[in-house]
Formats: sequence, C-alpha cells, structure tokens
Amino acid sequence: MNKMLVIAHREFTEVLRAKTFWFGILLPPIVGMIFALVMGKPQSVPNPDMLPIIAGFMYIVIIFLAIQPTSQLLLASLFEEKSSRVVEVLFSAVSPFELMAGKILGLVAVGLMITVVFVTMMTVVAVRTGLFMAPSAALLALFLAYYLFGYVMYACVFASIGAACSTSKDVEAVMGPLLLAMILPITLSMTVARHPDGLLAVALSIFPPTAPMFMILRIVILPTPPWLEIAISLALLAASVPCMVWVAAKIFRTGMLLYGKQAKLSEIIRWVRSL
Amino acid sequence: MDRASAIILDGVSKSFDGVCAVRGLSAQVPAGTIYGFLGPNGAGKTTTLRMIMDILRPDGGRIEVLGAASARQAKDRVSYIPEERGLYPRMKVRSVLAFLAALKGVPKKEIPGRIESWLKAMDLSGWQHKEVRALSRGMQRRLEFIVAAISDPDLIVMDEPFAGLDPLNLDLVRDIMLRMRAAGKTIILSTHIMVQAETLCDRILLIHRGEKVLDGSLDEIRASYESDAVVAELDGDSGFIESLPMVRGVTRSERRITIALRGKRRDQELLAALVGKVRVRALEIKTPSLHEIFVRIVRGPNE
Repeated sequence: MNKMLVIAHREFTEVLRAKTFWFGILLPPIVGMIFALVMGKPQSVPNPDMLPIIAGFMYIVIIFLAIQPTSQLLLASLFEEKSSRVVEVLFSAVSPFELMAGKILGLVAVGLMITVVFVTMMTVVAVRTGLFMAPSAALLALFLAYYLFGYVMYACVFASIGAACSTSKDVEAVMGPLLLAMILPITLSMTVARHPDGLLAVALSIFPPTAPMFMILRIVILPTPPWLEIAISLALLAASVPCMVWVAAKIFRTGMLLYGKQAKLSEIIRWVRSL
Repeated sequence: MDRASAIILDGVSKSFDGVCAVRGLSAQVPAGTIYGFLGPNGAGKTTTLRMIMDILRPDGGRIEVLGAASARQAKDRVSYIPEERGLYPRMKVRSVLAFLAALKGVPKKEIPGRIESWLKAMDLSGWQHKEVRALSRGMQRRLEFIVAAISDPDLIVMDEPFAGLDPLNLDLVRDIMLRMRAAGKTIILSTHIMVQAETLCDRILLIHRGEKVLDGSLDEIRASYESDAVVAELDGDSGFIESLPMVRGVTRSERRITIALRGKRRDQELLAALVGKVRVRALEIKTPSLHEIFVRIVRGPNE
C-alpha cells in the first residue's frame, strides 16, 4: 500500500509540474469564469424548470472533463515509462498491480482536484448569475461514488491500451473508436433528459459503463432520486469494476514489457487467460 | 537451500512464439562474486536476466534468488539496471533518486542522507536539480548505479553495463563494481564483449543460442584450453607446418604465423618439429582469450 502511495504521489506531482496541464485544463475555465463574473446577471432569466437539466449537463461535462484529460495523462505516462525502459526498473521494485493502481490513484487525485476547481468556479458563476441550486449532501456523496467508479473504469481501459500498444500509431488507431464511444453517451443525454424515467434512461443508468454519467443526470433531473435503481447500479458497479481492474492488471503486466511488437487481440486475450 | 549461492538456476527454459530463447539452463552464482553472463547478441542473456528478476516467468525449470523462490519475494534486496536507460527523462535527478529509493523500501528518514553521499561519490552533486535528460550518457549510467546501490541490495543484476561508455567511465564503473564486491555484494552482469569480462569477473557463464556452453571460473576455463596455439615469426620455408600431425590449422599474416594445435600441451612437440627445419625468430605460446575460446566453441567442435 505504501509503495502505491509513493507512485501516486509521484504521478500527482509530475502532472502538476507540467505546464501543458495548467494551460490546457485550468486556464480556459478560469477565463470563462472571469468572463461570466464580469458579465453579471443574464438579461433573460431561463425557465426555472430547465435549471435541473442545465445542472445535469454541467455534471456530465465535469465528469467528462475530469476523466478525459487525466486518462490521456495516464496513457502518456505509461508510454514514457515504456519507451524509457523505466518500467523494468519499476517492476524490480513493485508488482504490476501496485504500479497500475498507484498511477490510477495519483490521477484520481488530479481529477478530483480538477473537479473541485470546476465546481467551485461554477458555483461562483451560478451564485453571481442567480442560477444557483445547492446540491444536497447525499447528492454529493453519490456524485463522488459514481465519479470514482467511472474514473477507475476509464483508467482501466486506458491503462490496457497504453500497456498493449507499442507505437503512437497503434494508440491512435484504438483511440479513434474509443473516443467515439465516449462521446456517444453525451449525444444520448438529450433524450434521457427529456424522458428521465424512460426505458433508455433506466437502462443507461444501470449498465455499468454508462452508469456514472447517466445516473447522476437522472438524479439531478428527477424530483426524487430513484433509490432502487441507484442501489442496483451501484451494486453492479461494485461487482464489475474490480473485474475490470483485474483484467487490466493482466494486460498491463505483459503489455508493459512488450517493445516494438504490436500484440494482436487474440494474444491479449491469452494474456488475460494465463496466470 | 544453499546459503552460499546468490542465484540458482535449474533447468530453466523460455520460448517466445515457438522460438526457444533459453533451453535447460542450469547454473549457480556464488554469493559475493562478480559473475558474468557472456554470449553474442540474441544468445538469451537478457531473457535469462529478466527471468532472474521475475520480469518474465520461465516456461520450465526453477529459479532461486537469495534463498527465496523468486526475485519477487526478495525484491527489496535485489537491484536491476536494464540495458537501456531505465530513468525518467524529464524528472529531476534528486526526485528520481528519492522516488526509486522509496519504492525499494529505503526508510524515508534515510533517503536524503543516502542521496547526498552517493551523489558525491559519483561526482554528480552539481547536477541534482537538473532533469535527467540534461545529463550525458556516462553521467546517466553513473546515476543508474546510484539508483541500484542506494537501497543497499545484496544482489545487483546488470544488463550490458559497459555499453557505450568511454574509457574513463568504464574504469569508474569497474571500480564501483569492485568496491561493491568488497562490500560483500553479489554482482551479475551480462555482456558480449569478452575482454571486459575477463578483467572483472570471478566466474563466467557462456551462453550460445539459449544453451550453456561454458561455466566456471576464468582459471578453470583457461586451464582447459591451455597452450593450444602458438604464434611465431619464422625464417625459411614453413609450408610443411600445415601437414604436421599436431597442427590443426595455420593462419598467416605477413611475418606472423598463428599455428593452432590439436589437443592440449602439444606446443613442445611443435617446437621439436620446427627446430632445424626453420629459423625461429620469435615464438609465443598462447593462452586463448575468452573471445577466442568462445569463437572456437561457437564455430564448431575441436577436432
């Protein structure tokens, strides 16, 4: 555990040291916030019924913005370790699982930091423009839970890709469809927002890969949270996420030491099967 | 469990995609020695070292490291320097050392002190706040040594430690290794340059195409190949030498003739056969170097 924290700490500090991080992730929202503060209250007050939907969208945007760049960072970090062969030295000190878990932990911390900054800024903007809607403690707790599950799931996928691919070309080839798959839920969110109790909404909020985004959206929009469905989706996540971590660790273990040769999908499946 | 052995390899095998990289390798590395893994590129050295480090798992056989079933269990007592860099290019020197020392289980309190003393010993103190990629290759190698030594391991595994080093750094690396051995550590290194191994290693293992071809101390190995070549400068017609019974082959280059003999210790017979027939201007009875021994083994069996 101690070693995982050491790794997490390094990951965190190295990300914060990178100037690209500060410019790419925090500067635009800060500029937007200053802009909003300067503009003050909007001329036309939006329909109060729309407030929950706007808030819901904001949550989805926050989750996306917190998860996406940090997953990219994970990929880049894995790449650097692989190409500079540091990974061999690391594996002489820690197990592959400790390395993967430590890196994910460090980047979760980064993502949480991003989230806190965004939420604070948005709260400031919302208060200023009179659109403020205070979330309850239960909502915050649920948000945190879903965020962590969602982040770990994405991190597992990215860790597997980073470990299994040998060149940036391969990474790009896989990332294309993956990004598409990630954007897709956002396009569906309009439908879900209009029919938060519909079949599509319920299904998307229980299915583990899409649950984090859509359940939060539904909770915010619906007058009362669908507790039974929340319980089911959390249970499914609690069961499936450890499995994803386990699979990712297997792929990670073998993939990190593979240089030059691009592993085929069938090979990767074999890695997972073998002990 | 033999306490005197740092590493025991017992019938170790490893294949990749049906290609056999290492086959039935058995060896024993005594504690407190410098042990060389020699062989040409692709012989299986790096694969074997990785199996010792438990980075790869063998397909067959058994490996024991520092008395434990695998390097994984002895992790904090074993350090590894891979063939290629093995450092974070964009991290600061000090940060890299602190990070890797912590990962190896060095107590937090001791880390700054150890970093200071090792940087001084390796003459890198002035570079501690620079990024690793700002250092020259020789300096990075020295840094890798600090990384390996800072956790005070019992066993250090190095893959091609001399690769690409200039003479000054070569000597420095040699000195460090000798000092480590004097401190009771075991060092196992791989190289394909026999000359370096000859002057440093206590024992060596020669690998060719994944199999062990030679194993023992340098003295033992040399003894079994003693006196089987003679280099001479001769006046007169020396064409008859090729057909002498004790001669295996002759190489001529200008004035020098290298005469390879069949079997051992037949140099005196050769001398007797030369005297009177040619005028011997210079003669040297050669003990083959490791390089020559290896080439001989690899090219084909002795007749």
